[in-house]
Amino acid sequence: MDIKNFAKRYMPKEVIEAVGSDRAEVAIKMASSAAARLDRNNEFFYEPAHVYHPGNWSAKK
Amino acid sequence: MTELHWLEAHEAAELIATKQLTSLELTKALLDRIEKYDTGLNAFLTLRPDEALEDAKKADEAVQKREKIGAIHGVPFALKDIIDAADWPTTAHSRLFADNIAKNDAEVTMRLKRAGGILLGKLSTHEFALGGPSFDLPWPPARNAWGRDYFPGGSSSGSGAAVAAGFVPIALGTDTGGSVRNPASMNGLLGMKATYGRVSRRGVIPLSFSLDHVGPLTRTVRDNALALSIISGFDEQDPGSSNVVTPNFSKYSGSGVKGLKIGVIKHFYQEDMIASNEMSSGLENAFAVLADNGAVLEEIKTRPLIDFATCNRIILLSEACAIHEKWLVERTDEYGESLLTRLLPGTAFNAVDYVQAVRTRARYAAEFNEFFKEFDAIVTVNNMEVAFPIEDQAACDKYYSRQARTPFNVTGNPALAVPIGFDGGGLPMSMQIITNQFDETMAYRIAASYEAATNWTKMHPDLDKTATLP
Repeated sequence: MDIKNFAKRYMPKEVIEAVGSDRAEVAIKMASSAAARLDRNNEFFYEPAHVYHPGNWSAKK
Repeated sequence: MTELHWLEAHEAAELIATKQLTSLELTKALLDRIEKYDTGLNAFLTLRPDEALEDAKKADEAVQKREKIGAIHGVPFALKDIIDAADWPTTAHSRLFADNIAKNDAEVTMRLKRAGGILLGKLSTHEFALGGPSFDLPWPPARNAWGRDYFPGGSSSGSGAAVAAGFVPIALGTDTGGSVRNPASMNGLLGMKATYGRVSRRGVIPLSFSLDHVGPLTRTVRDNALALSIISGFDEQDPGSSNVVTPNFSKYSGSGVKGLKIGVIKHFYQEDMIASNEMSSGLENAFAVLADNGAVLEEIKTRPLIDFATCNRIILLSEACAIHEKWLVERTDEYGESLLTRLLPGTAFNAVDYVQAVRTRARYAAEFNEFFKEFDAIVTVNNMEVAFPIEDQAACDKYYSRQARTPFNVTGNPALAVPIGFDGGGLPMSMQIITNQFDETMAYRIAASYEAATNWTKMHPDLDKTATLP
């Protein structure tokens, strides 16, 4: 899948300010690389792995 | 009698139940050993000897009174310090939680106590089960029981060191990307990551909700099956808990492997990553033992490791950042450098990355479980190398991620780390046995057959040589 439009990942500026631009730059590169590697070849009907069952939302006894 | 510190949990329980040993004698012996050697290993963060001895006395009184007793009555255990025990600290080995006192027992703690276990202490971990080994935290990192200069695996590092050192026969760890099986591997232990949902995570500080597992580390197969039997079971307060019936996992006994069909994934360590020569030889020897005992082994191919690792990382770090979001900005300086470095990419993934990863996970799990229509189990590598020197940052950067455990956090299948001997330097090596969802008994059956044919789980470190401070 062509994911060029999504290739660059961004970090919230509050996080960059908190951790410093050097750490942020390294982390952004790692995230961009992992996101680019992810196999996105999912058919439309593939739901996420942890879709919750209604029972999980019911009131606990 | 075996030295008290090398008694298996089931052996100790039997001796206590039949009044050949008291819980007090056993608990004292283990506390003495910890006092003597843990200054070199740093396995424990919190010890409460008086409390443990008091609990041991009560356990002995119950035996004297012929009260109904549990499967590990009077036997000490310990917990990775992200697992709650009521009124004990749960620090996550982090400044952020240095003053955190748990209000209640985690479900697994409660189950071990209900079975008669004596909580001896809380164990070192990588910070929040992710960053480490770290030397910039309030507590030092745990060290390998087979050589204190070496990494003990992580993140359940104290759990691995403590069991291998003979401090406790059972310790619990957690496994999100391999953190039970890694210290099991590097300390020559059994470490089980059971099926996702088999063991409750309530009362355990989360790293990644959909990938976290709690599991036992022990020195033998029988103890591991016993510990898993105790901690497993449905918990309605854990949204991921499964209500599939919990069998007695110890009922593998005597079944052997004759006629079992076992798939072997070699490309994980021969193509996707290249394992050390000694590890490759160790694995071939282990597989030969299974074949010699009548199993039918056949090489199989699945996706490359990088596919599983990428899926795991995006889910893990995204979920972890949902937990740490506020602290990352407001308490940044309290994090250790290792955790910060590993966690930060999670703040840069976008929502689509995460959703695609959890969709991909479902597909990978479905694909992988097709193997179990034909095979009873799968075996493969655990770590690509033995433990690296713990203070060598370059070695840590190079070797830390060279492993094949994350595929089974992604798929949720049971995966059991099994010791397969030692390298030339005397450090433990390990393989993994993977089985169909909820078929942990099969993993124990194969491991027990292998264990019976080898001597690895009977070998222990000599702490006078491996654990003493220079």
